[in-house]
Amino acid sequence: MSIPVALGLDIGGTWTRALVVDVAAGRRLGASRRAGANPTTHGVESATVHIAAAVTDALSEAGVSAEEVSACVIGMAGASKLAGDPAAARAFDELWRSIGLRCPVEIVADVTTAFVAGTPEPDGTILLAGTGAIAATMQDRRPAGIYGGHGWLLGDEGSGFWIGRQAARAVLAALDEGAPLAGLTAAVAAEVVPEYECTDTAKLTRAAGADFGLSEGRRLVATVIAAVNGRPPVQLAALVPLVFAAAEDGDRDASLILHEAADLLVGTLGRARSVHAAQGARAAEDASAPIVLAGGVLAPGSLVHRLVHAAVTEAWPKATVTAGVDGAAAAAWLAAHHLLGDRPDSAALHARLLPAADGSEAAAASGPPQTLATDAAETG
Amino acid sequence: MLGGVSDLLIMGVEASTLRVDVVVSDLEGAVAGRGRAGSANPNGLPAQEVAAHLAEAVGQALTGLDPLAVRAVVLGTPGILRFQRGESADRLAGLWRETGLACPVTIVADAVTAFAAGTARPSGSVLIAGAGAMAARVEHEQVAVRVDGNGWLVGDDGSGFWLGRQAVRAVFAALEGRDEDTLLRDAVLSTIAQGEPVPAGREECVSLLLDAVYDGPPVALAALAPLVPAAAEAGDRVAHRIVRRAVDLLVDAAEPLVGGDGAGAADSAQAAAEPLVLAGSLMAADGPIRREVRRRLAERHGSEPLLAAPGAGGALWLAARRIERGFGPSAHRLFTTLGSDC
Repeated sequence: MSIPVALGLDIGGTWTRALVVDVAAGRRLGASRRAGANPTTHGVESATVHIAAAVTDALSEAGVSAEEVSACVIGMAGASKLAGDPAAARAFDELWRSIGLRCPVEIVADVTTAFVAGTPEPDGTILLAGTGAIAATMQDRRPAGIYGGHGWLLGDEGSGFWIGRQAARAVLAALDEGAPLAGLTAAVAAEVVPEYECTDTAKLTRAAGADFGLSEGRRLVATVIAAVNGRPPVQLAALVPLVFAAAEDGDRDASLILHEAADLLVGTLGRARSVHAAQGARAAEDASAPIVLAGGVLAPGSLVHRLVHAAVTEAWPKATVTAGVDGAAAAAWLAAHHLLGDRPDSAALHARLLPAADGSEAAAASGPPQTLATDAAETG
Repeated sequence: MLGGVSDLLIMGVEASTLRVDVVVSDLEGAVAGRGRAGSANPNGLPAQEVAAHLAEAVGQALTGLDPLAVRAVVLGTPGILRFQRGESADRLAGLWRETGLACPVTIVADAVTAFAAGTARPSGSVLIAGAGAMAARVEHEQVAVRVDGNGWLVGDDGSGFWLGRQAVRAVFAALEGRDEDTLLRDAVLSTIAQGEPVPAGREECVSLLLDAVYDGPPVALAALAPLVPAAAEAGDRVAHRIVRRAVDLLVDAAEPLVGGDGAGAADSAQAAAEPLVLAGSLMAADGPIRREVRRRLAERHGSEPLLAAPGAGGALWLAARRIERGFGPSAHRLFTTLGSDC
């Protein structure tokens, strides 16, 4: 038997990430990234294809065979739903066999890997904002209570979907008012209306604003509405990077949207936090229990992250607030943790694999680049 | 005068999101035929299916009649652009010949038929609050200004969809102890359970709601809308808050068109002199939403808003006016009422 090897997978709506680590040395051996494979949104069959490819890539980069993997943990949105679906469970068992994994494979909720990515502590609170938005109280690294969520149609306030929807509404409001498109509204209109073929936002601004009569403005409204309705609603989350960029450029609409998103996210977190605190016996420790901020909308350095971070440190001054960035490394650490138990080298391994989790802003900001509005819970 | 007026027929069609309604009458206001079929909004349905539903409803209405006797057809639809442009327009244009009609068919926005269903005057404003929500200024069968009506995904604030969505969210809040309990909890859950027993556990109720909402089309949430004003009338505070917000949003949409802000009519005096029509299922039913919207818009507008008959009646009236320009308010009452029995 050679070195113990752990495999971690982080499966989101946009990306599937895999990481192979050397447990003893705390080294990353191989990593890979493939398309999203959330089985609740992509279907089990398509999910298994991407997962198999991601695992194979990571193992091959690591120079490790599947049989040599000693432990595997997978973080995934909709993990609990999957557990209740025997057909899906069978499909996944078959997948592990076909890849050649012999070790047990544990599937955990995406909030778990997001939380663990931010802290080595077993208890605390996670706020995860990607396409969806959800907060959870964590006990022994399991979600004890879930807040927010409910998906794009009924909830997920402050999520990537929510931000994208507000951005689309900003375009319609500007056109309704006869205001020329500029900044955020020009960028969003150019993005969602391919008919106008205007990657040049200045050109679109001229076309849709000043030189357009009322009927042309209204025509653009109809085109924008048809465009956003012509694709899956959650794709509105793809507008998030435009909102972030416009806000950084000082666009007022974008800034208002992101401030409101931050308020809503802090509200969701606050619900989790207050319920957690009210759970009696552990209340004393809870004031200092860590808070982890994760997901594309809360990518370290983004305006939403800065706003939420400031509000959270003010509201819960005793808590350590960290960024959960690398879900695959968190999954790999959880797998290693099964092998190591609660030993000091397990904590040391966490520090090595997840440097962003030590609480310093510098470390958080230097984490791996994240795609915005991607991997988080769609419905939890 | 024309000989044999009773041989001469007119047709009104309302092609909406929920269904298509057709009414055929003579110029005396005697109904000659009616038809109804599934959704005919080309914004949400392939043109092929829209054409099939229209053909079915028109065919029903023309049963036993000579299609050549029909001298004017007016159709109101939220998807007017798709009737006018592109491939869908070609497909839908072919439909009329297939039904045997030979007269001109005028396609107007649903805001125009909704407005016409409430008044015989040519210009004014209309607030439509049904599954969707919009306000419009209508001038001579054209929509001159339009507010919202942007669809459930990015608009329709205060609509039936909006109310249904808020109702489900209120139930989640109650189930999770985030907000006070509400009559909406039992009302929504038993509606969603469709006669099956409502589960006792919190988690089961949440799952039931999530599955029901995400398995169906989003606009189906509009079916829950009537539960909200009903609960509010029964004294429910949560429902009352939702109603108040819906009223605010609907009044916000209509206000620029009827008030003094001047976005719509040339000046406020002109706006006040012109009619304001309230249309759509939320305005058709008596209850706190219609009462409050009416009261607040009456205050703002300076005179009592008019309540519209169903859109097919408005379409029929516009068709009648195409044949007989001299028809006045009493004929308007007669023809628009014919839309009600659809």
